Amino acid sequence: MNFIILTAGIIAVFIVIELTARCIYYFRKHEIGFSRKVLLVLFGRWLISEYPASSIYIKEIAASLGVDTGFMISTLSEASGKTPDEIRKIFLDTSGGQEAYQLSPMTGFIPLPDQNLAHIHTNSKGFRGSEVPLKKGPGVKRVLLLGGSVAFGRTATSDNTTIASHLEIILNNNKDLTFKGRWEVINLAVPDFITYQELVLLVNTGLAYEPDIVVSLTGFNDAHHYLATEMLNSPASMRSVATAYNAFFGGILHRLIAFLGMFLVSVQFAGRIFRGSEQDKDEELSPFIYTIW
Amino acid sequence: MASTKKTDRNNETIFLPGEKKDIIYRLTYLPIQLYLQWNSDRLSSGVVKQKKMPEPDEPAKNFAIITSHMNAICSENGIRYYAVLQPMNGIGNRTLTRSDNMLLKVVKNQKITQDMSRFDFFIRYYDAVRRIMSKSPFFIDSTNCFDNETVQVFSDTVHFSDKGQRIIAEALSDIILNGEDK
Repeated sequence: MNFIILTAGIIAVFIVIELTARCIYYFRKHEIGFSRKVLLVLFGRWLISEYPASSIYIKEIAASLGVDTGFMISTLSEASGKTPDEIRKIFLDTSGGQEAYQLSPMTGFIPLPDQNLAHIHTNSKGFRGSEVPLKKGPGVKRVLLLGGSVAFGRTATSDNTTIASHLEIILNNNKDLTFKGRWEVINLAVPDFITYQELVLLVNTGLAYEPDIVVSLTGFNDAHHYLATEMLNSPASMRSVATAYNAFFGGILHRLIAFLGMFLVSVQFAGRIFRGSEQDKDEELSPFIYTIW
Repeated sequence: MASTKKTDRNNETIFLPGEKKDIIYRLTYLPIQLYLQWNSDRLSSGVVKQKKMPEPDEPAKNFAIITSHMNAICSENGIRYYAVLQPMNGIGNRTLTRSDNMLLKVVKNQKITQDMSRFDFFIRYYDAVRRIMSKSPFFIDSTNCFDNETVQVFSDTVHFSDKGQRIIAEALSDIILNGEDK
């Protein structure tokens, strides 16, 4: 019996040594810190298994971990067995990056003008889509779309698949109206905006576009900001990063605690086998086993 | 470890391990997250009492006040105004897909008080908005516009897939066209 346990123990030790060696080779090959790599692989595996369509931006996580986005995608690809393209599909808008912002005296912030990302383009005023003249042309009805990231179309795959673009096409294709002119839908939505900021934007900028209809697709951000600022006392600008970290550390910690628990139980169990239980104390054990233990 | 600096396709500088920026990231974001986690754990375990109990009516009332102002401003300028309450994953009568349940797991597990998750708060908030805004003619509740959809329309808690964008655009066009002369 002792021989079988000893053999199993030796095999286990060899497996651990082999795995450690492989890990060290892998980490050295990629010139990256051990802890960072372990976290990256664990996090990636967990995230991919738990979230078929994650809202977490891979670029933010990569920046937080201090690694390149491309490197992170290749690592997650290796860790999960999925192709880099599949990884890109799992995460949102990873290849084109995220829109940047500038401070605005009235609304706090608005997107930077003339951004040309893979999926998002902003005009000279910083709003999503093509250039829109302030003056309305003859025979044109304008719809102003206000809101946060949902109305902005942050998860739309292009400027042509946003709510505003779809809405403009649907309205122009409708033949049942007495109005036979052209519809223009202007997307003035800005990610993270709450209704108060929409009000300020409407008064300061929106009315200048001479809209006929104003649609405010909103609601969620108000509650989200209320929780972030009133309850958790966290800076609102850190929200997305904090969410990413929350998902990250929440998953890691749960697994770490579970692993430690299993490890302690295993050690106790192994200790009882190798050292023997209370009844076995008087029995003579092989000195070789003591040496190993 | 050697410090290296790279530039990605958007000409943004990417900092690799060993850089000052990397240390700054660690020193800023990590403590914030640890604090949030610690605070969340304390609240959920009941070790400390919440400084302020979350009141879903509070942001709902703000929503009502501000949209009323927007409606008044639009009316003065001869503009039709609609305040559309946006859909949220898990709210409405749509049967949740497996992906939806996974996407909502974090929100449902995150406690903001001992007996209220973040998701519970949003449900109460949406109910409060509907209740407070029920008599406002410019208010439209679009939370049920995905009820008949069996495909994946949400990318996360609130954002839509391309299919979802199309459906909500159709719902908005119905709202707009209903107010037009036919």
